[in-house]
Amino acid sequence: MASVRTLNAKAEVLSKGAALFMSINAAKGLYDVMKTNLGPKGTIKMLVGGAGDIKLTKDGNVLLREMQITNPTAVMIARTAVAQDEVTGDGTTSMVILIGELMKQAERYIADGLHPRIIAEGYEIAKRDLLKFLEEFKEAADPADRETLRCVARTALRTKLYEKLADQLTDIVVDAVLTIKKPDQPLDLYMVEIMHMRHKLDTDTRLIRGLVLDHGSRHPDMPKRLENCHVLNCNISLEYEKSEVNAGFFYSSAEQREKLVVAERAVVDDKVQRIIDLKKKVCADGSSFVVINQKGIDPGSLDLLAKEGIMALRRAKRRNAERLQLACGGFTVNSVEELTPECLGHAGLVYEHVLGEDKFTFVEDVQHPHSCTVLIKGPNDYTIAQIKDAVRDGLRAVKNTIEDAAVVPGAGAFEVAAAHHLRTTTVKSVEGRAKLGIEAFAEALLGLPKILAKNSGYDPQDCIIALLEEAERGGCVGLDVASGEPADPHLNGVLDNYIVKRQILQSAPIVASQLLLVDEVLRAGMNMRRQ
Amino acid sequence: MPHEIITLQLGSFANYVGAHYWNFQDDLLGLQEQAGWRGPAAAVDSDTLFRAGETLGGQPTYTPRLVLCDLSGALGGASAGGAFYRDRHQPGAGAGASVVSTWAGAREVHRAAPVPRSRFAEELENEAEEVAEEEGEGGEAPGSSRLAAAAAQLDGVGAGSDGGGGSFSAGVRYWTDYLKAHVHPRSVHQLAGAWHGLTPFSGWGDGGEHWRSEEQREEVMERVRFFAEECDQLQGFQVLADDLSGFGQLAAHMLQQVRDEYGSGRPVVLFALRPGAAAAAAAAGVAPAAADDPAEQRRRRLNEGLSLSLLAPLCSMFVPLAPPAPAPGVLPLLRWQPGNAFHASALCAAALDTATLPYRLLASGLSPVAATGRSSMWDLCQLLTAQHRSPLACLSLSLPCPALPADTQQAAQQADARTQHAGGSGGAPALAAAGAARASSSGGSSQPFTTQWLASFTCGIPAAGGDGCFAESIVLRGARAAGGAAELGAAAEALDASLAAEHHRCVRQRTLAAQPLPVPLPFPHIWARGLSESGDIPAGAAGAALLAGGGSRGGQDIASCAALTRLGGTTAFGPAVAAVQRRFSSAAATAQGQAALEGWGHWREELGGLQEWLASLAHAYDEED
Repeated sequence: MASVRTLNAKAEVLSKGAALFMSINAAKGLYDVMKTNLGPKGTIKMLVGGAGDIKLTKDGNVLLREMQITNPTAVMIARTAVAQDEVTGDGTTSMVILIGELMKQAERYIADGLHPRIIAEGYEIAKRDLLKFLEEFKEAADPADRETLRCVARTALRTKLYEKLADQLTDIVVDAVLTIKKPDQPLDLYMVEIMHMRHKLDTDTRLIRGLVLDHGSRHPDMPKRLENCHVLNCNISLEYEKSEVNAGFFYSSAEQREKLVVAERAVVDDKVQRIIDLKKKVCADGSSFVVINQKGIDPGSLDLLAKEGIMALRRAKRRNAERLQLACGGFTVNSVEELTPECLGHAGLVYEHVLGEDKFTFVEDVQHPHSCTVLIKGPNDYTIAQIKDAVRDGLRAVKNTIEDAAVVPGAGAFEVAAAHHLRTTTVKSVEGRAKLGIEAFAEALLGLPKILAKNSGYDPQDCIIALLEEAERGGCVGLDVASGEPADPHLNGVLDNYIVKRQILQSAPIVASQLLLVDEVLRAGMNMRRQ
Repeated sequence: MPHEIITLQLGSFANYVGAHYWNFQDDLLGLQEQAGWRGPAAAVDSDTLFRAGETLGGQPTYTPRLVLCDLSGALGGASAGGAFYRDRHQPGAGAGASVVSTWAGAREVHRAAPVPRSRFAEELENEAEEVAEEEGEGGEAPGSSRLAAAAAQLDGVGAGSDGGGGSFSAGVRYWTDYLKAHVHPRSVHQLAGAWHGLTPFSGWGDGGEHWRSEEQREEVMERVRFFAEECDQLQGFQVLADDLSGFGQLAAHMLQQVRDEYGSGRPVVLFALRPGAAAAAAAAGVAPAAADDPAEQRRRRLNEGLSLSLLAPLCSMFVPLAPPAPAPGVLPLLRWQPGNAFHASALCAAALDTATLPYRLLASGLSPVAATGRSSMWDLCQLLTAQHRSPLACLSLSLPCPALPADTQQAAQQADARTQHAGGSGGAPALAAAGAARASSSGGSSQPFTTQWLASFTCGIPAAGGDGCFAESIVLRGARAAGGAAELGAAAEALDASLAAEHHRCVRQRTLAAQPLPVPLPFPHIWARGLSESGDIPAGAAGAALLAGGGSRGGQDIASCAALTRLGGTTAFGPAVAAVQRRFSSAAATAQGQAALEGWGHWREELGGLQEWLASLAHAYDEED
């Protein structure tokens, strides 16, 4: 400590006891905020910003992002939780709660004079053993079984949205993932577009097998609705623009300049003409033609296309070109030379929907879509934002299940079984005081079902005793949040992702141990107590 | 048809400047409405910067084509949704249960302490409502005097003494406190999880975390695309960025994508805002670090090097911009505090508004009010940067611009034959190669008005680029002569004569507009007391006293004033870049510097390449012969 003082006179130092105290307090602080979130009976948080803007969330990840966290320990925990979300898409709240519980349990033993390192050792042993236990506990799931996927999605969504909406979205996200799933290829969730409209009610949210683009044609004479369409998906600039080639080209008279403009215009017109030629060729049978371009289309070109009854969209986002290809078939064309009838995709119906200044273009009725759109509707922005977050989590849950080919019974079943395992099996494999660390870990794990019970309005102690008794007898038991009684989660279809549990088990003890072993906190130049 | 421009604002100070910039535009719109197509304001084509839209309720709107980035909470009491597009049926925060339609269970409300809006913002909204209610009644809105009083409060006038440090403006805490223009809700992007006044964001790499996931990137680029998709003939992008902070890296990431998506034929003009440490800290809502803090210095050196080697190459034109420090003879009629973000940003915005005029003017022939020297953004960039293949340009401002000399005639004769073709051509962009009047008028005692009160806004570069200036775009607006507005033709002549008298030869493009710089109500009160409404100084001793810096506090009795900017390419950047490279190398060589760079994702292998680029940029200015 003295050496730090010599290095930097302004350094602020918290030593041993104070450092640990700060870490534990920060962990408990986050824990207290997040614990009411947990489970299908948790509370939703309404955050009102300084300017009166509303945010609604039941998602731990969103909540963490909205909290102005400055405490270094809390920042560390929050980062771990956010990483959890990035890797698995869910489990942020559980992560924060488990870290908080681990710190709380450790505090009890440390108060009794146990050295933090012993507890950390116990945590490490427990972690290793539990990861093995999880491998035994998980249940193989058939990725093609729709019912399993629905159970997992529903479990995730019911913790974010009210039941009716959650159940509706369950089908949407499962269908969305099954639509984009191709045999023997990794799932790319970006092939599900999530589009929103501030319009109507949340229950009007639906899945569109096709694509919804958030822009429309920019010419008044273009058709607003076309049936039986050829879709040209291209990345060709159809606007007059200065190219870098003639940088430094100076014209000496107005006529020369005019000529140059005319010549460049002719190049653009020629490109448009080639598209029109293709249209004439393929639409002889009375079908119609839609151009969706990633680059710009200037008014002159729009004019030419409109005269031919072509609907043209400009500046489509790059992702949508990929999605379009998967939805309608055909492929993206990068130059007019490549234009052939084979590159065209097909859609039964393309139409425009106008909402204020926002336009939407629906490409629907496609034959073998491998891309689709979840169209979220809601009466206001914060409702839409909340549903959007939930849909993302739901999609991730389904994807995880398919990739893991495994699920873990939910409703606290794993935590109860794991605690039981630690107390009956693991503890026997070690000698000495590390046993205490394992006991602390087991107690911490039970914190999750306790909170679940408390959030659902039951007495946590009663519930835990009932659960542990059931676990004694063997078999898989979780808490039925509707009755407060122990029940087999399979009966209610409460299934969690394997990867989520594994990630939590892997990270939470590490962070907790690291924080426990911190015995000095220093921060140069700034006064820490002030914060 | 307008050639649209999209504006990007990245960073707290950039948004301070941007707010002033849009206030100027808003005033201009007001003037256009008042005077109609005959007024001098009509020469400016607002459609270049603004878009017409409509709310869900069918109300027409006219908002800037703008994407702005700031830390969360930097909007203060203003709602990110903006006033225009706010859902009228949205229940207030206090409505309770009915607000939550997506959850059947319990609800917890966490309420942040409400951030009060400035009185100016409140009055502005009141006035808008009053006008809407009393439509057609005519006469002056009763709110206007209250509004003026509220605007005065922004600058702490009437709030008593302005403390010792004075780093915070008494009234302004957020840039939304004085923003007049309405902004489209899609324009506002707040970085999630990074908080105004809490999250450190002064290092180049601090922005990296906000460009990691595809969602984050898409969220920003979708905003740009929203505005770009509407444009029929997108001309280019103008960018204001706090490049010596995490926003610099964000800007580099963004511009890379902008280049990819919108083609290299669309220029990107970037104004790299570098206010002093005090003003930057005030804008970011944090306490300023001590100037001699070695960590702070090191960070600045690293930032500078990275910005120049990673951000500048992505720009067609890169203009470092910093408000000058007050000194005798520098903008002698303004009384600003350099550490005050509200003041510093206002100066930058005044320079910006004037310097960007060339590409915002209506095509000649469309407007009855002559404004000469319209130029596209592309041509402007070509003019200033093509010669030495370096995007760097410097900016100088004269505000108010001195009145034209009374003896224009005589001056013109002095400059004589060499400038003949410059005055004549009128409408078309005239490349006026000013004569080398080295020998002829060395006897003139007073400085030419084009350099007289000129202040350099580019740190380390002399005003107007100094002797190394090789290409220049000069904008003179609302020129005054003998207490009245000068004729555009006379102004052109005087300008040419004055330039000729500068004894410096380079390629020049001059732009003249009759419209002076309007001074919006919420412009800081930094004008010397005694200036006339049009920014003229009183004659005789009173004027001389003002010029000498009399009267320490500023006021605002002024409605508009003449302004002159000179945007130029200069070889003076050669040594300046070399100095940046040296500082960067020494900072990067230290252990802490290296650690910082690695933390920002720039590994040692990369550094050689960066330094090489800096060296070649410095050498780009070496004389070839």
